[in-house]
Amino acid sequence: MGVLLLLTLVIFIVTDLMLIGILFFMVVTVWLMARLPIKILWQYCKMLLVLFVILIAMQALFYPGKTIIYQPLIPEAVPLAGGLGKISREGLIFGIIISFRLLTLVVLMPLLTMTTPVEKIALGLIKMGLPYTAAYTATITLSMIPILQNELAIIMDAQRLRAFQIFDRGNLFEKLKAYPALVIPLIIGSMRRAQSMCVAMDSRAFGASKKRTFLEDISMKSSDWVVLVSVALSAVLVVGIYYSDIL
Amino acid sequence: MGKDSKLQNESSGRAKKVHPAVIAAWAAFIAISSLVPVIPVIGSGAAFSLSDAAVVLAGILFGPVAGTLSAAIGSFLGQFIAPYTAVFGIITFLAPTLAALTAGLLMARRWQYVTGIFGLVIVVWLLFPLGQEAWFQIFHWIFAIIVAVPAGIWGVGLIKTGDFRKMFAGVFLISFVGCMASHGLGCVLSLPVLQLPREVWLAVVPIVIPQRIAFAVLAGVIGVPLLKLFPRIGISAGPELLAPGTGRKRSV
Repeated sequence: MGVLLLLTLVIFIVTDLMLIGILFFMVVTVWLMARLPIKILWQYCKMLLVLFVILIAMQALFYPGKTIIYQPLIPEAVPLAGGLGKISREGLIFGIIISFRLLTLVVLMPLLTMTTPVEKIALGLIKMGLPYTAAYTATITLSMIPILQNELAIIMDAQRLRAFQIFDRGNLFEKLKAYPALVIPLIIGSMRRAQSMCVAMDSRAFGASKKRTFLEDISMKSSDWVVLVSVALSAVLVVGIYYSDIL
Repeated sequence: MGKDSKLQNESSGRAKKVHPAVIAAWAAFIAISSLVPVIPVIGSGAAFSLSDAAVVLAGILFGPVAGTLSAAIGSFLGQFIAPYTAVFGIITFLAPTLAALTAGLLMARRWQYVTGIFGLVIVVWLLFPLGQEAWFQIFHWIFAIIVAVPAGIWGVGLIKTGDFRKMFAGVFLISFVGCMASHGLGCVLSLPVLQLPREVWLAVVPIVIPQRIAFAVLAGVIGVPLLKLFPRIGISAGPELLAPGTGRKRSV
């Protein structure tokens, strides 16, 4: 989690193509070392592709670059809209940098969730000072998500069977009116389930003891410290290079 | 079921608090609602999801503490379910969390804090050079401050009336301010990450308010029936969690 936050901070600061490229390469290397399917990485790229095109186009058109690679569609002399449509090299490069930053940020998170069991993430958060109740709430939320997803699919199928096609074909106003029919049964069902859980938790005196013990405990090992310190040093180095005149 | 389940919800001496299981159930709803598209983002193929309305409802239904916690957990886990929506990385969840906090504070009639939040958003926005270039954005948040005052003063009162239309008006007002808070933090975070040029900010100016109105309407159409139904199934929510007029939690 600490590593993730550090890398996020660095990505927020750095706007240099080479440094962002290095960061992205590092993240992809870790992805491959963790033996995560490259197919998922490709899926994220495809999902974000339209956004990347828009970002690059916007920066290419509006970034105040000096090297014009495409002359304006509207002559500069035209009032208000004059000069619109010119594409600068600097803008194009900046758009690519922004897209790479976005992709690196998006790819960072699955690195944590796909390599670490949820219980260990929750335990780690408790060790970092998160109250046990909050961490446990997050854990039970995780167990509820697949049930709710399943119920949502069932409700949607049931409505489709009754020729209710607003979510597939309706306009925005029709959809706004139709959402309660989808959402309220789902929420009420999950709240009833939560009430049963309340009984189960309270009958086991949840929260009665402030000092808890854990079946499985985790602690920072020397290898964890090595990774954390090396990422911190790399982060300082990258930010240092960014603010120096080296590049 | 009603009375028994109310006891279940408020058992073991924690009558003033929302039970963690209830917080978790709403958080799970927020997480999965990030997969339900509502308003398409023109030209991008992406869409704003139902979670934008669900997070403000967390604040309205469960108050500033439990609601914020629920929104934080739900949004945090939601960004793991749909990582492609987490354009600000691991801290993406902060914007919806702020929406829940704002709505919760308004439910507790603490509109002064809400104006402070928007004031802070405006100051941080203007600290960035790109923010200074797109200075006109601050008018959205000034408008939100103007709405926050009546929302804080009358919002809860309208919800308490029990009349569907008045309840809708109350939920709408509070939700709108919550959505604007999320928009504010989202914009501030996008300054260093996306570094959008002034022209883009200018182009989206006419869309921002109608989009948030649509989210607030959605929160209203879902929130009002829930405020009516929750007490019937024994879940304390909305004004029922708060003592009349004071904004403090009621002791049972």
